[in-house]
Amino acid sequence: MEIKSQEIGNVTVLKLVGRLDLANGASLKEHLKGCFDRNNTSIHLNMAEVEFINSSGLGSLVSIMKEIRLLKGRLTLSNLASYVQEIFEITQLSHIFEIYPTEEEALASFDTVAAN
Amino acid sequence: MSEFTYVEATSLETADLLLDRAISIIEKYIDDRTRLHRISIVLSEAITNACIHGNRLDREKSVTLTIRINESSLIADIIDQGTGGLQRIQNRLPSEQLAESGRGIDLIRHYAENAVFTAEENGGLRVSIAFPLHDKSKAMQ
Repeated sequence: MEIKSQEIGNVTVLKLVGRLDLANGASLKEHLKGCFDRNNTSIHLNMAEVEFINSSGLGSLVSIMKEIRLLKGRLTLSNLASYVQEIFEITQLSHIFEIYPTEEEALASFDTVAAN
Repeated sequence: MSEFTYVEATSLETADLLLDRAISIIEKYIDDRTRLHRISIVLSEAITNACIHGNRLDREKSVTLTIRINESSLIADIIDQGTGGLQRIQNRLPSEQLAESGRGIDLIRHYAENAVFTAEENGGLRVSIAFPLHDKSKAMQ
């Protein structure tokens, strides 16, 4: 899986490309560890190009979310393909993650939360 | 009926390798991307389970994937060489909301038309998964 990283304001935006499974989930966690080490804990994952996610990939996302919560940061997701969204709903993780239709809406929510 | 069998030594890459081989076969029969994705999820869960929980990533042990396709169904068997796999399935507790694992069996049961878990004579776990080849809901419309 390819991870394209970009800083937009105070938010680290990662665009994930490919399969999000056991091996790639571990790569994503490792990538984010570097962000956390730099105190970047406002994270947005754009999943428009995630072609596949399985329970191992979901487990990695849960692990990342728990770590970000411990660090008092925030994690958002956006642009889930319908079949990826379906997996979140079946596993009821759609109630746990902050999922936005678009990256723009997710990033705007960071501004709103910061303003409050 | 067409039948395809693949046997691979266990590693972290085995799941991807077997899944790629399965998809290359299945996409010749199913062109609906959503259905193909759902079948891929189920196969991925069963193969990953075989590698990690069944064979415990022991390279000396293999995972066997057999795909049989007839006029109406696709049946996949995933077999590991571990021990106690069936008991693990039978004794598993419902997944906790923030658990980092344990959702794979739920996804298999959700998407497969039929999923049967049996123990092999050598103690390995066989997961037999069936899918209709054609979308029954569309056929009924």
